[in-house]
Amino acid sequence: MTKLLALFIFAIVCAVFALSQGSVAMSLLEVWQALLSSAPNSHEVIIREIRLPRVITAFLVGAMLAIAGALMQILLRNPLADPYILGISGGAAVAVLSGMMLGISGVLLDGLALLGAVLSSLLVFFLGFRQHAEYSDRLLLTGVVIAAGWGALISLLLSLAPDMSLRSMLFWLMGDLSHSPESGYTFLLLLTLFLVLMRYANDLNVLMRGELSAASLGVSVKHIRILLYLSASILTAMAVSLAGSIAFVGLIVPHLLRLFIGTNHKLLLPACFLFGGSFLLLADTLSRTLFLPQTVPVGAITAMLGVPLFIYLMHRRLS
Amino acid sequence: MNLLETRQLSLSRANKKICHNLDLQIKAGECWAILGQNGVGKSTLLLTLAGLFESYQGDVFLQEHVIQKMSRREIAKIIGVMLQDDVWSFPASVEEFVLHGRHAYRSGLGDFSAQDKAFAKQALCDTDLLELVHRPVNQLSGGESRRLALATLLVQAPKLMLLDEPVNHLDLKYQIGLLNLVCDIVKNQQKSVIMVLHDVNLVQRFCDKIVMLWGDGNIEYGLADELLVEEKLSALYGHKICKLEQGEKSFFYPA
Repeated sequence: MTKLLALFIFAIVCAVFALSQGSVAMSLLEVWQALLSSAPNSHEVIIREIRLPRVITAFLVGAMLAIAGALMQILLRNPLADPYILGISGGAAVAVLSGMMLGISGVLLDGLALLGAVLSSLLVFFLGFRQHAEYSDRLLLTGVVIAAGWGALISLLLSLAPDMSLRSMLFWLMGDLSHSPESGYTFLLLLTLFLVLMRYANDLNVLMRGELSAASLGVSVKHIRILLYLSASILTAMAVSLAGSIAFVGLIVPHLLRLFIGTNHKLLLPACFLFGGSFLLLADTLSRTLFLPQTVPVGAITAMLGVPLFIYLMHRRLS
Repeated sequence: MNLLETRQLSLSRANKKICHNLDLQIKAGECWAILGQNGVGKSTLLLTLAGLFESYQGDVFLQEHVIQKMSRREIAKIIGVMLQDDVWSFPASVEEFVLHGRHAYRSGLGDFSAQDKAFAKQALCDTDLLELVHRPVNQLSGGESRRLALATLLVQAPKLMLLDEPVNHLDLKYQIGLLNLVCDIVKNQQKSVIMVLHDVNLVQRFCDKIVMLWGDGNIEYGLADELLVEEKLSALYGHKICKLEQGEKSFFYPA
């Protein structure tokens, strides 16, 4: 519990840091005043209308990706699985890139991303999901093949795209938090799913042993697998529709937390919520401040942070 | 009352017949062994009896209830399974994993009780794992994983134990230790065990009843004394097997 409290405080610190950084740097006091004051001034507008929505979106997307990653890893019984492994982001990308080529923009693109993600996950579900535990590899194989198919379509679309839209396509593909829509519903959905999953945290712990073993110990694996797949898909689809595909958060955050918090999902899931959010928030703050006045895609930052961190962890475990 | 019963059970996998119209009755206090060549479906039969493999014709009754209509939690309070191979890829500790044996007994969100933890400690002691209590399970050796699987089963305290090649990967000391432990529990606490074993001498030493899978859907079962004879074993394994008498004991060896 103290570790969760520490993560909570860390999240708050990250949020305040993110609010104070940007092309107009502010002190903590100024951030505080801007959040509370009713008198409209330039700081207040920057904080409330530009930075705060982005901070909230970054945090929610990070939390969703980290939780989805933890779920995928349990479902596929592979600590190296990430939320995109079954092709959800690929489906979204193909839908969004096609939309961009047709000149669609704004909120409609978010809708397209969600549609693509949902269709792709349904496709994998019906082709790859079987009740019997003995077929559990089939889901992974189906997902990976579908993901490869989307990858090919993405390359095709990129090579056919006119030069002027290529840049925004690449930004979307690398993950981008630059537009942050109203996030009230997103938060509600995330919170609901999180609470449902917490209800099954004990079952997830036993499911780490593998499906047959968990079933023999009293877990109703058939139902939990569907719950896991649907929750991970919904969370990933929402994250992708808000921010494109941001690499490494869903892979590295659960992995890192297992080393520090342990594998009990009653602690691991809340920890993913808090630290996944903080991690992406930090990465996003770096992405908007590192190369001022340029903003780089946040996906590039998460990967740059994630790759060395991951290699370090692997070496630590082996030695 | 039969602890476990099959009625007209017909089972096949990958177009291969495993058994046909099998009527098997398992009672409390019995030690069963399942014998047969590689690939005849011993594990599938065991999984079917545990309610973990569901494409079959006929019925499986657990304490007179149709097993397919029972919840996994209800079944887990009666049947414990030791699978043939456990591959554990997450860095959970031995202590966490052994407590999973009590999963069926706790409420949805509940933690393990002090009594659960006492059971777990006893089981780790019985399986010689106390020193490894904080070791991540993905760093255990094959034999240690086996013993952890057994410890989980002991903590689960089922009436019927289904063990798939329980002595795989184990040193001689632990092979005999495991079988002694399991068979003592069966005799002293009126429980039952069905295990897939490959070593005929271990079968002869520990089991009183036998199921032989012939590979063509035919199944023979009965008392160990009647089925463990040279001709039958030679035919079953496709290799000449001889019996060596030594005082009151006898041993089988491949010619």
